[in-house]
Amino acid sequence: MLHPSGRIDRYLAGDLDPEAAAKLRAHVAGCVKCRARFDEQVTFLRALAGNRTRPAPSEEARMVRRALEGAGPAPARPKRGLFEWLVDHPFAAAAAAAAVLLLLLGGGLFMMRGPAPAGRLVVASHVTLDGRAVEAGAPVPAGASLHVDEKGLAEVELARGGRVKVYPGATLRFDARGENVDLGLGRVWSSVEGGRGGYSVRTDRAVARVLGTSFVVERTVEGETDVRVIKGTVEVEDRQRRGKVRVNASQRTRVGRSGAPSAPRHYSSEGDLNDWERFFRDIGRAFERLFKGQ
Amino acid sequence: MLESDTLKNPLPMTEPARSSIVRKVELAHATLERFQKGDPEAFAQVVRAFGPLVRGAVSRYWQSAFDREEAMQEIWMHVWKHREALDLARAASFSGWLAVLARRRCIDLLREPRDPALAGEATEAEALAWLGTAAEQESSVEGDELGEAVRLFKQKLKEPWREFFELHFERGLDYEEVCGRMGISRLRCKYMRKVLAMKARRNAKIMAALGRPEAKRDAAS
Repeated sequence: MLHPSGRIDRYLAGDLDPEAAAKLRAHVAGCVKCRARFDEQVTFLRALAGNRTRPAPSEEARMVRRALEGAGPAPARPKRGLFEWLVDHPFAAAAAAAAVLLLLLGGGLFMMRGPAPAGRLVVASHVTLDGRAVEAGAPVPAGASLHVDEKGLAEVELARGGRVKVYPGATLRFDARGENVDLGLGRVWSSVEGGRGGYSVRTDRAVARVLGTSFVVERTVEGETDVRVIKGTVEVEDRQRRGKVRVNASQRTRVGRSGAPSAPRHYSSEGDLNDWERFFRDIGRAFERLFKGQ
Repeated sequence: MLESDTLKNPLPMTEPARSSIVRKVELAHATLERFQKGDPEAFAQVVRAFGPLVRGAVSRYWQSAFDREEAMQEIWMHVWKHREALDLARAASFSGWLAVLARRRCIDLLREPRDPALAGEATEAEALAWLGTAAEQESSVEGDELGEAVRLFKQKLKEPWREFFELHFERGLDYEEVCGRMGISRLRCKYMRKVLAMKARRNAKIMAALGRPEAKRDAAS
C-alpha cells in the first residue's frame, strides 16, 4: 500500500467516512512512516490551535465522534458530490480521465478505420468493389458495392459465419459483419451457419430471412425475386409486407412486381449447383486460354 | 453534580489540584444515569467532560499521538461496555472510577505490567493522584513563542481567511459547522484549510517555535 499522507490530513480534518477511517488507522498502526506523519500533523494542528502539547479542539471532537461510532449509531455524515470526490482523489480522477480519453481515442480510430468488414473474398474473378477491381483475399467492407462481371464469379466468407456464392452479373452490398445482403441484381447462394445471429437477403421486392442454412436468392432483370432453399428453412416476405411464407428445403417461392410471395413449390437444387460448377469450369478454361495465349 | 477534586485523598503529595487533568468536572446525576442506561448522547457528554482525564492516563504510557488516540478509543469502548458496573449511589466519585478503569485498561493494552505498582490495583484516590502529575508539559517560554508566532500569522490573514482559521483550526469546528457559519461550500472549506496549512508550514516563526528550523522562509504571510 502507498503511504496515504493525503488521507491522514483528511482524517484529521474529520473528512473520512468510518470505513475509510478504519482502513487508514489499520495502515498507520503498522506503518512507522505514516505514524510519524500522523504525529507530526497532530502536533502541527495543535500548534495552530495555540499549544502543541494540548489537544486541539478538533482532536476532542474526533474523540467524541469515534466513541459514538464505537458505541452505536454514529451521526450521519453529509454525502459528498462527484466533484468533491474528484478533488479528493486526484489520482483516481486522473486515471478515470485517461481511461475516458483512451476510449475516445479508440473510438475515433475505430471511426477513422470505418466499420468492421462484412467479410472476405475467398473466390474472386472479374469482381469490383465500389468500381475497383479486387482479388481473392480482399476484405469486403460493409456498405461497399460488390459487382461480379458476366464472366466472373465470387465467393464471400462472412464475418458472422457462413459463405455467400455470388453468380455472374450480380450486384450487392453487405451490412456490418455480413448479417444482411442487399441484392440489387443477379443471384446469390447463401450457406450460413445457424445460431449465430440473424441473416437475410433483401431485394427491392422481398426479404429472405434465414432460419436454416442454405438458399439461393435471385433478383431477375424482369424485377422478380426467386428464393430457392437447398437446406433448412427460409422466411420470405415482400418489401410491402403483403405476405410472408416459410420456404423449406427443396422448395422455392417467387415475389413478383405486385403481390405477396407465391406459395412454396417443389424445387431441385441441381440447376443452381450445376450453374455454379459450370461457371467455375468456364473461368478455369478462360484462365487456361489466357496462359496458352501467352 | 460530580466534583472529582473534592475526593478525600489520603496522600497529601498527590494533590489533584496540581493538574488540569483532574480539574473540577461537573456532570449531572441524570446524565450519568442515562449513560448507564446506554444513551449515546449522555455518553458523548461523558466523553467530552472526562476526555482530559483519559487523555492524561494514556499520555503516561504512549508517546505517539496516534497510539494515544487508539488507546483512548479502547478505553472509551471499555467504559461503554462496563457502564453497568458504575455505582450511581457513588456518582460523585465517577472520575475516580473512570481513572481506575482507564489505568487498568492502559496496562492491559500494554500487556507489560512489570512494575507491581503499575498492576492496576490502585484505589480511586491513588489513581487520581497518579493522574495529578502531568505527563508532559510545555515550557512557558516555548508556549509563549509559539503562541506569539501563531498570533502574528493570524494577524496577517485577511478576512474571510482569518475567520476560517479561528473557526476551524482554533475552535476545531468541522467543515459542516464552518460551512454553516461562513456560508461557504465544503469544497471551499477544504481549499481554505489546505491553503492555510501550507502558509503556516512556510511560516518561519511558527516552524522555528515548533523546533523545525528546516522550514521554508515565510513566503505566504
